[in-house]
Amino acid sequence: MPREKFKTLTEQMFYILLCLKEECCGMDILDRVPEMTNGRVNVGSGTLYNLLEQFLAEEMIRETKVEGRKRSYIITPKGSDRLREEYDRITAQASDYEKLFGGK
Amino acid sequence: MKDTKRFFPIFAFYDRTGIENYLEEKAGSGWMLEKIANFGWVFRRCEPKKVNFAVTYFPKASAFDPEPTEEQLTFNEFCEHTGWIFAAQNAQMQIYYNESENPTPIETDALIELENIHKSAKKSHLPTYYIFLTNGILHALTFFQRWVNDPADVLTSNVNLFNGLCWILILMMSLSEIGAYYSWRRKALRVAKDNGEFVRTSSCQGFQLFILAVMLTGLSLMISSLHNAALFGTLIAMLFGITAITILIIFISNCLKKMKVSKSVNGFITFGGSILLGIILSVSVVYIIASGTGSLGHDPVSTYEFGIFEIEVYDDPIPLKIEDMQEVSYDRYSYELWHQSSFLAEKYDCVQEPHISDSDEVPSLRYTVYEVKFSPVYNLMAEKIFEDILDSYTNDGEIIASLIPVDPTDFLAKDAYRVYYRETEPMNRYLVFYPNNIIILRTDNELSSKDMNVIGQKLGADIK
Repeated sequence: MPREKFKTLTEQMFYILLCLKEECCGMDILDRVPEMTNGRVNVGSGTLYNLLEQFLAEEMIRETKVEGRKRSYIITPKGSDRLREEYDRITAQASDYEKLFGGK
Repeated sequence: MKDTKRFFPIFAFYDRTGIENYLEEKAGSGWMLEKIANFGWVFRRCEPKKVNFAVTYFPKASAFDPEPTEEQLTFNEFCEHTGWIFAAQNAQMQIYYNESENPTPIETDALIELENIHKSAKKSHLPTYYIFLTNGILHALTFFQRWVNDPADVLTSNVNLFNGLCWILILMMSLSEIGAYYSWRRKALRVAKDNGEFVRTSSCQGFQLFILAVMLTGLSLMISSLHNAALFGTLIAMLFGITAITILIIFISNCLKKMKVSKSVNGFITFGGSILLGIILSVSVVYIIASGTGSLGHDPVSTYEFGIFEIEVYDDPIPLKIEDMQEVSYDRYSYELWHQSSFLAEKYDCVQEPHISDSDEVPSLRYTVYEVKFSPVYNLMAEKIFEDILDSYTNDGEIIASLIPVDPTDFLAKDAYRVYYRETEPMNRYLVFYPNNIIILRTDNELSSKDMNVIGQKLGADIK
């Protein structure tokens, strides 16, 4: 089920994993995603909570620190691979577009 | 002026958008949700304000949690970070509010949200509806079977009619709730996969209110038509018992929560207690009825021993007695009347019997009168009663009796039939039809025209 779900990453999944290149906690992610995207992408707190659980279950991220209820995470090699695959998919799409319509 | 108010809104468990709109309207009119209690939603007076509400589903939460779990508290902290303040919860359903103008929603992935709603539904609401559905099907089938076997008995009893009506309504309600949920979910999954949007939800409020209104009307009709004080008392005791058990179970569950008992122990005690108390209530009702304290019938005036048996003697006011038709000097008769009624029809089962030791010499009389109050059911009852009389005379599956028309004028009736054994031997059993009444009569003696005339006068019309 989750494996099938993460075959293609949604924008929110993509940016959450991107944030986790460096160790950070859930609340950091809630702030960083809109910063990285100039407010284009926002991750809801409920959605983030669930995605972190699912990424953990899929071993795409791992827990690094627990301070009270604050938990920090970092991306795993498996998560990095998935992120890279997604990047390749997106750039392939961009490249196909540029072949037909040209670049900016 | 009261600062808190209790409301009883009706929402489907998954009606996220409906509940959000309702709470936003309430806040706009100066009432802020404070908590969801066992008996209604509690609101506190506030300045009318524009507040955004978000309903989200946390499948790991339970109605039996003594306090929010660490996971829930973490979830709450995530929500607080984006301006969402916890308002109330009802098992898996969590409600938050946010006073910012355009806050980031708590749920921004429709597929994940649908997954959580479904996990929550499978944990509590759907199993409850499936239990109702199973019970509804079983009881509706039993009612249908009774209807097919003896519609006259069903139609002449408000208790039977109400019982059947309730289970059919419960069946319809659970079917409509389950059906509406899965229909919405199928559409919501498709839309979420196609364009990532969350399909608005809705509740069958009108239908649920209609069912509630029909049930309450049926209940009040049934209670108001009960002439038997013992039956009335037993019914009221049952209703009181069900209410008391419900309150007791909620009280126990809340106490266990306050004592910080784990959710599994609380759940076990609550469910186990409900089943146990339900069984105790059922057994008590059966015991009360069996012991005669809450007898559904009437009390004998005396009893006598006959061999190993104790025979009860009654002196009920039956509408027709043997004495009405002939001179009788016998004084050891028992007159027994069983009466049941509904808003559609009434049934009087009457028996006049001598002391058993005299039964060879002294005649007896048995009859049943169906008084139809709602004419459309007359033909249905008449046909079934006709068939039932013939069915009562069978030998190896073969019907060995006939109902042969006789002159109805002596009975002052519109139609009359006499039972014949194999079409040749007349028996002292009659089926007589009046405009509103249907009579089944069995005597020990051959009836004269005068006797039939008396029967017509006594039982042909309103016999109260």
